[in-house]
Amino acid sequence: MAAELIQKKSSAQKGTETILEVKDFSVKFKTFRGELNALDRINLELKNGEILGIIGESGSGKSTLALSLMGMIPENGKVEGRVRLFGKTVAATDISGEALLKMKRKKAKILSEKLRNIRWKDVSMVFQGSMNAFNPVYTIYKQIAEVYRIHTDYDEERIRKKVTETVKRAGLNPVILNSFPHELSGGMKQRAVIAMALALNPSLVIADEPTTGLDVVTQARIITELKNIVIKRVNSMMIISHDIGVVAQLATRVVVLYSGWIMESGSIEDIYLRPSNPYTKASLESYPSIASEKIFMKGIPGTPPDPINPPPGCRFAPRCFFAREICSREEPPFAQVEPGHFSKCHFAAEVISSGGRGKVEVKDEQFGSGVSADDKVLIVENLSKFYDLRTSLAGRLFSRASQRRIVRAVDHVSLDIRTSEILGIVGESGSGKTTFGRTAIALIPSSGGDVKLKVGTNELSKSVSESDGHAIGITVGNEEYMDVTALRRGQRNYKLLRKKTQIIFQDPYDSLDPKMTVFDVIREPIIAHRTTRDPEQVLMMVRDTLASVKLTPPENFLYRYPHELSGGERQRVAAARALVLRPEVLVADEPISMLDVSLRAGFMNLLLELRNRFGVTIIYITHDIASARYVSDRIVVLYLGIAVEMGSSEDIVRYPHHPYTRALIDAVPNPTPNWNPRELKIVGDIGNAVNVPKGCRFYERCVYAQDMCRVTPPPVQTDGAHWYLCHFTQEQLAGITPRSG
Amino acid sequence: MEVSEEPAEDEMAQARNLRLSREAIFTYAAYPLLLLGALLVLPLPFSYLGIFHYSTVMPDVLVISGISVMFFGAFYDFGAKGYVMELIDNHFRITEIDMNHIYKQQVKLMGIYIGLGLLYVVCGVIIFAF
Ligand SMILES: Nc1ncnc2c1ncn2[C@@H]1O[C@H](COP(=O)(O)OP(=O)(O)OP(=O)(O)O)[C@@H](O)[C@H]1O
Ligand code: SF4
Ligand code: SF4
Ligand SMILES: [Mg+2]
Repeated sequence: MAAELIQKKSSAQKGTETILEVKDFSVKFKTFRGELNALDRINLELKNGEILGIIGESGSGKSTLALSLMGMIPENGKVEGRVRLFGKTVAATDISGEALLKMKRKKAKILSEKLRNIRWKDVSMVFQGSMNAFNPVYTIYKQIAEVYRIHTDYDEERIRKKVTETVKRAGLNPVILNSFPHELSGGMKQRAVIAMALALNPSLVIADEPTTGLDVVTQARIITELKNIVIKRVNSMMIISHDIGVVAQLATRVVVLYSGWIMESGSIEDIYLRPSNPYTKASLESYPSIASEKIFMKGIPGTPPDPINPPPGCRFAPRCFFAREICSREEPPFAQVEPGHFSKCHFAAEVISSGGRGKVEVKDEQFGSGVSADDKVLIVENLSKFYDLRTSLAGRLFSRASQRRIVRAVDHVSLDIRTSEILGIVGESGSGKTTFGRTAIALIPSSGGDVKLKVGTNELSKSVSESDGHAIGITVGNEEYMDVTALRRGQRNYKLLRKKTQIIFQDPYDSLDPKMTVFDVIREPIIAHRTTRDPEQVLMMVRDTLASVKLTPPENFLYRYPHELSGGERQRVAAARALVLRPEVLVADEPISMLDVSLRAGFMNLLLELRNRFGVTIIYITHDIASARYVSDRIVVLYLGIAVEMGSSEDIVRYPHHPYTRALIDAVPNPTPNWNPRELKIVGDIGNAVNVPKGCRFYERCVYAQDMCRVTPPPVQTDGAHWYLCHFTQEQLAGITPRSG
Repeated sequence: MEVSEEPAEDEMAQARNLRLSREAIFTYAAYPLLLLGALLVLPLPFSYLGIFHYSTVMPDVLVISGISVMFFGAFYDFGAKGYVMELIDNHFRITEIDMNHIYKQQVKLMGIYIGLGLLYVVCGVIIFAF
């Protein structure tokens, strides 16, 4: 409904008045390595009433563009062309970036006065990551009031009234005004930031990655909030995001940026249903969606170009599936393909006629299956991990008497992981995903419960002491297992565990030692486990592993340092290090969340392929249920340390049973134009795992909750392989009138 | 959504918390005390060998160290920031009362450090006087 309103509203005003005009606009930054072309001859128009979505991956120039509209180009930037906003020039060669340094004092002062008047009043911006930019020592009130103090001559009384009004309209309780930023959740802070941007009723609001870093439920709420704002409060908006699903929900017109170029622009339907640029098309095809059938995503090969030395001709040519000889020679023109639909490609007409989302046949071997339910590699029983924040010195010093400080990060989780399966672990931040992954392979000690890892017969070392070997080895059925939780560091079998289980961390920038070459990084485990000493063989192993993670030819990578690699390549190196000893269980903790969008599909395919080729079992931890569905065979949903639902990934996505899973699925954005999130049936934000309710842990957020849920822990409801934790069956839940979220 | 009511705290838990917090304060106070002991004792053998005059050099050293300890106490947060970050990471609600408690503990430790700094100075004066 909201989308229709937006449509109606925008069509009513369409074509009235151009409020933003960007003409042949370029920004070049001076850097140590040379000149960096952040924006290259951009042309753009925004009419009154339009909601412009800007899509692009990291480094494509989105933020630079947004800052330019605010007249805030950094001083190492060289500007060509100009940007006019409401008929006033806010950025041009002689008034922006470098030029400011040379400008006379007086002129600079007049200019900054002029820009200041435009900012906030005519146009305001929600900066990328600004919810973390609140000053921690001032209350929210003080920080919002500041906007009025600087830009208006209201008295205190009036400011107070205005501020209260503003936060109310942003859907916040005015009580929060007296809070300090750290007291608010991410979602509340983001609302406060949006409230601030709306404070002076600007005509245009620019939101740079407004939902990045928020949980999917919060994200859905913020998007709804932004929609309401468009309907009720402002005329035009610009939404900048790397997430095509987020943009799909808000924009009426879309611009696709790649490496400082506008690759394509057009109405939202043009872009999403009839893409005429190979980059747009490939991006759409690499976005995991849960609304449609599971289809194989090709991903985009290669990496985004070096912004200092972009390739000649078309900047996308080295990665383009459509590229022909002319592409690496001649820059494509930015030409109209249909009325209002432009594309920068030599073959735009051909691309558009090649149809929408390419149907790629799903081959079973691409996703792999043939996992046997009886063959369990890891048996987890009642695994718990509690943290006492009072164990640290500062914790003991600063904890207040009346506060519990035990975090139940993982609370009695039981599940079996099958040999060669990919198990997705899904949950919001704070649900205990990472802790589960780490305790399951005893990277951190557990507080209770058992984990058993399958081992070959006679693989366990009993030589240290007979009793030690005996205590560790357990027979379940006909199989030998090792009791992971009973292992102590230093025992010989501990090394076996480390060899059989490996982990890939979230951040490829942190997890590799910058002083080691790729070869050293991958060789490290071989040396640590004394697998071989023969240098020839070590080199062979390293090269084979590099090849298996698609870093080919391996010679090109062996002696490079992490900083010489792109994010995607680094994550592949991290995977190679984890795989070099052929582990049986691999924990991948949010492996794609720090990668550029265009690289994600590629890495997910790599995980699938590794499983299919080497039979490695993968525990895939993620907050993104769509990507979990793409790679995993089964999914388990965690909520505040508890597994609330588990089933095959198709079942979880298509027929979610637990009220929490349902809300999670409803909140996932879908990359189709004018898509509306379903009404979210969930209350509040994820709390903490400290003062947990006695009964169902989801009680406070559940819209179906009944009295019994508060005190009695729910039983498992199951129909075979798919189970969830709730007092009610699906039929019973359907009979309960949900309270409003 | 937060749990509105914190469970009634029994006296045991309160006592335990008090004990833990005292222990922590003692641990923090122990460092400058140990340092003072070391400063007083370690140079003795050297002074005995006649390398320098204990009673002329040590007062200066002690006064400077004492002032450093005071400054340290005044500017160091005693791990409060890390602790608050930990709370935030774990989705704890941090209220005004918590913050006040943290400030209070910090002020206490600051006082202790300034007192200990003074102790350094007093030691210096005593050595100077004799
Ligand atoms: N002040 C600066 N000095 C030098 N280079 C800069 C500066 N600001 C941005 N750049 C570079 O300009 C390019 C575009 O940056 P920009 O921040 O606009 O990208 P973005 O699309 O917003 O990416 P993200 O999604 O990571 O926010 C990048 O290569 C970036 O490193
Ligand atoms: S110009 Fe060539 S390389 Fe560039 S997007 Fe079009 S087909 Fe691909
Ligand atoms: S047990 Fe009750 S509170 Fe928990 S999920 Fe089921 S209905 Fe909701
Ligand atoms: Mg940005």
